[in-house]
Amino acid sequence: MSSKQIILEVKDLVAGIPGERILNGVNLKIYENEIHAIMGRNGSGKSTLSKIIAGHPSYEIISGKILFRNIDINSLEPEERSQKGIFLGFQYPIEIGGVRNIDFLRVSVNARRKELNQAELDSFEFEEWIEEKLDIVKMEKNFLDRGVNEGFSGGEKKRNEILQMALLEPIISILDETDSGLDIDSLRIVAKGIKTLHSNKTATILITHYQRLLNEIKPDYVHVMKDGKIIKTGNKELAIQLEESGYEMLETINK
Amino acid sequence: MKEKLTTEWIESLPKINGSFSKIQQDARNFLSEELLPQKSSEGWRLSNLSRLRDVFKLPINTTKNSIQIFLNSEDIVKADISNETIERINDDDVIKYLSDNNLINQSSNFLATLNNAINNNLIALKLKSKEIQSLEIVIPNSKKELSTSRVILIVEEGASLEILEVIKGSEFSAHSHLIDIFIEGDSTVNHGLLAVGESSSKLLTTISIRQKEKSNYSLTCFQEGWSLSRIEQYVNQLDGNASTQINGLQVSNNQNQLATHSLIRFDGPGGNLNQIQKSISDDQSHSIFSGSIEVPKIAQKTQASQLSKNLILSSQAKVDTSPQLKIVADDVKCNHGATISQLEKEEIFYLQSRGIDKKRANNLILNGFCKDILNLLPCNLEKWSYLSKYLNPIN
Repeated sequence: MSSKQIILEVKDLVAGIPGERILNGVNLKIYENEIHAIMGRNGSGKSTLSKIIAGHPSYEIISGKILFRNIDINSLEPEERSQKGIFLGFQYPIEIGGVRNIDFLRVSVNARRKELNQAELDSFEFEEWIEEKLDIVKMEKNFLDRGVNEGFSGGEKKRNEILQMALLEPIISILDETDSGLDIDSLRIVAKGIKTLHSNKTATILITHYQRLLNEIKPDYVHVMKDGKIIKTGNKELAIQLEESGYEMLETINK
Repeated sequence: MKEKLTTEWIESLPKINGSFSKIQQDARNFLSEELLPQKSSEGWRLSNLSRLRDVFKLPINTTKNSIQIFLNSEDIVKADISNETIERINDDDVIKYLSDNNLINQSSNFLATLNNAINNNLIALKLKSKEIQSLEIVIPNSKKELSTSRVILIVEEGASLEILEVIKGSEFSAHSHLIDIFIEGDSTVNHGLLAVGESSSKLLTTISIRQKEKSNYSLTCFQEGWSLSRIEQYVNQLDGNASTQINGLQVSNNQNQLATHSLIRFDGPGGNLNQIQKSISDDQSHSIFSGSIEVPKIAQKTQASQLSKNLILSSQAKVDTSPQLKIVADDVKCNHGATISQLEKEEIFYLQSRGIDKKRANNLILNGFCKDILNLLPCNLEKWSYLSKYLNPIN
């Protein structure tokens, strides 16, 4: 398995917002075909890590590097990262009033297709193409005519995120608490969607508090974050241990 | 700065003959006696009065009968049509309509008086058809002159009408426009005003509406790009029991000052109003909205809602928004709200994280903000879409 390509590498990453360090030396290496779970309490730096990888302008990197397929992405705009195949599924997807979901999705998909040297889709072609993708997240067509996430329920917003993931066909998907606020049916739909979209050429990072998502999607690695660092890495068993004994067990871990 | 219009200026206005000469003379007398609008008067407190004074430095455009009117795309001024759909009204009938009860006193309101004092460009029509008619009114403009236009429409009982007025400002011009619409019972009017100026042009507009019982009136105003623009809207539900919808969008940049002043009054019970006023302000521009709603004792069971939503794109731009509800009746449902916000960083990041660059993300959000108002403009809007990028669909 030595021929496996490395997709994402985070090296000694120290970062935060002006005046406040949030990440204190994160190291992470993700190869294709891998599913990683990142767990940890609120405030441990999980979401910050995901936003920094996606290029959120509020955060700054103090030292360290993020390499995507061996290229340093620090100077890339968020849209360039997306076009190259980095996808962030939002914990709280944003509502954008008055912008039709289908128009937004088409502009987004065409930006990615352009990067891949594929022909852009006009609205008719796009409508045809999106129909099969809707089935992955069991969404009705009328979702597409509504404003982006406007008036969507929590579950609908998360399914819309997975739809975007399906459309953009990213190389790496970072899903920030995609399971939070979902009822059991929505959780299954979302989990099934993520599994369908994961392939031996892509990688997935699941950021979560709970292991219920990990019952549906079996991760290859489980990392635990605390105080802006990964303090422990293990396999699925670690998630089960955490669930049983709670995050208190982490207090005893030094390093 | 207390000043009046000079006698020379007033004397220089072209005189008209016939039925309107008295209205014109009254207006001139008013202008020669009264002071120009002052900072001390509530309605003009926020206005750029030096720009208003510049209007009176321009020569008057004396071209007559230059308003273009298209009924279902057919030019009816040239054809001079009178049939079962539409007819011209003679001046005496117009005067009769004008002298009936009116929410604004057109002999003491500054904008209306100014229009009346010049008033060399008037068209009055009666609409009769039960089938939806589409009327496009194109207001002429000319460079470096002060032009006026006046439109009077009577919409007969049961008629259904779409009206789109288009006013385009040209360099160093000023325009005074006044439209009166009388809406009889059981009729429906969907009225749009598209007013797009240039950085040096000025616009003073009065919209005066009188609605009978069981009528529906919807107004959508879009204004953009004027050095000084002021749209005064007066809607009077004469006996209540009618439906009114007022929508507005003003998009300002550079040093523009755009204003909407509305007064909606219910003189009977059971009326309803839905009002949404939006603005986008960039650069050093200034956007003003003042919305009055009057519900006297007779207007029980009135339902009124007013919302003002404002986006401010630059730290030097300014927005003033003030609702003024005067409610005397006790059994009414009235609510109002106002928001002023900036483009949300998180919204832009969300779009960027989906591969959409910052500039396009901004445009998508702004288009989305405008869309619910622009979608309400009647008639064949594509024809006029060159007027503004905000009227074009996404992409």
